[in-house]
Amino acid sequence: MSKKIIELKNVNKWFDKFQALKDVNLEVNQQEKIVICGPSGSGKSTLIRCINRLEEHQDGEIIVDGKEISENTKDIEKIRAEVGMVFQQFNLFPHLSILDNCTLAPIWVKKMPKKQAEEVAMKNLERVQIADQAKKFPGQLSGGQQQRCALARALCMEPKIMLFDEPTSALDPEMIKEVLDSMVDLAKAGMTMIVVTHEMGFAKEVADNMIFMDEGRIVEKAKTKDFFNNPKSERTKLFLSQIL
Amino acid sequence: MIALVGGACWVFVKVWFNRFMYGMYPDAEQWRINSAFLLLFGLVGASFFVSPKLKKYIIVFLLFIYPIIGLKLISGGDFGLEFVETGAWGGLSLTFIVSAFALILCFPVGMFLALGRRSSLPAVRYTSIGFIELWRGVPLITVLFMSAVMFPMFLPDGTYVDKLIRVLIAITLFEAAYMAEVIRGGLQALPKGQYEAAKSLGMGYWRMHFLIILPQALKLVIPGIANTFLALVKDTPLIFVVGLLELAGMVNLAKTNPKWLGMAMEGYVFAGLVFWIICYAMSRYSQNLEKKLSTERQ
Repeated sequence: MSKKIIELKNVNKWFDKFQALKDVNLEVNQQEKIVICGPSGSGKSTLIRCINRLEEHQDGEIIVDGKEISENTKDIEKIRAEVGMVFQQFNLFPHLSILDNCTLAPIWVKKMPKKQAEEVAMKNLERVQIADQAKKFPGQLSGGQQQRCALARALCMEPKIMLFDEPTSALDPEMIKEVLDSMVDLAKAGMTMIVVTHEMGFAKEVADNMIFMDEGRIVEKAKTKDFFNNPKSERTKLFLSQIL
Repeated sequence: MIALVGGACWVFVKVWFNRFMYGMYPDAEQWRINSAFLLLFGLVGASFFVSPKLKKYIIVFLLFIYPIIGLKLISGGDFGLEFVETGAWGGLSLTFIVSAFALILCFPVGMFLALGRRSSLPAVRYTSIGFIELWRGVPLITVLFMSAVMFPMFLPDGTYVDKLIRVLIAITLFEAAYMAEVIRGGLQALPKGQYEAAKSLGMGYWRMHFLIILPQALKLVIPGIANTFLALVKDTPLIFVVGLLELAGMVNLAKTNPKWLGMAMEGYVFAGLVFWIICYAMSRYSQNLEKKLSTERQ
């Protein structure tokens, strides 16, 4: 249970002159669930986007599943295929049906036969309870259904790690629960997860560790219980008092 | 010469009809053009009614094998067919040949130029920008003139590239530059999230573009693509500057015939009507395509 799968060492990132990440250090073990919270602009999203190199870091080391990620990484696609990601805006492919959204990458990236890919897709769609929508297009689904489809699409690649970038922030309040339920199921199944979210109920339920970020730094990292009951930094206390 | 006194004289069009369709192509050999076009229209028509799988094969055949068969059939020289030089080709059939080839070729060229212009590799990007801006900045008529008159001067002695081929390449590259900018508009209209989602699933540059980005971008710019295609068809009469006479060119020629002076109006009305029918059909087809491909709303 304690095998390291992600390691960040002194990671720094700049957007032009603005420093988005400052000396970030982080270790994630297999099957560990980490929830990252913090005010907007604190670098939470940037941090997880660096892990699959949707953003490039300029300084420090990021090691995912034993491979360092840098501008010299030739097979960044292979690493990305192992790291699933769910976005705030779903980012489903609107020109493809729900089923095709799920089978496209397994067929073209993992070279899975079409039939097998469809079986895997249906299994995952069932898991997030939208198997009956498989033939529809993303535009015909509700926000919650779309986000669950995005989750299924990522799971079809059978990733080792799942990243969630504010998965419920763009949803109507009543749809948040259905997405969180699917994420809780996934967590219970033993997936390694890094979740950026403000859903503290979800965090208390599944997170092993909590991270609080502010101005590009990790201000506090603690066991979930300690984080909520006994936060050390004043900044964390202030943040928690405002959102709880 | 009733036409001079009053009323239109469609006898002019009737008498010259053969030339308007086939140019100077020998009468006895015209069945070759007919069969080439019948095969084309037959296949295109059939592709609308057959199963999607068969349709794929027909399209591949039309794009890669048919052009060779069609050209060989019309130009001849082998299989006991009499050779007919491209200078004799003309009329509406030449309009179709030039338009069809330029349409099919300018599309992929434009697509790669559009991708090139957005490439992160400076060499590719600047080459694409330079190419696009060069071809967009010159009038088609000068390009055609250069291709027919100036270009052969730069070739080593003894090499000869057929005039029609030179013209086809010139029109293709010219329209490709426009096509590139239309397609780039579509690429830029796509949200960044589509690129990120594709990348996060492990897709590389080409898979991302061919599976995710281009299908959506091209769908967005169907009106712009149709626009460019229509402009291309209507630009074909300009090939008269190099001595190739398609439909409008033949009308131009016919009206200067001493026996048929004063018949310009009828000829031009006829040519205009034919162009309008072609363009209207293309425009309707593009509208249908838009509707068929729309998945955003029911």
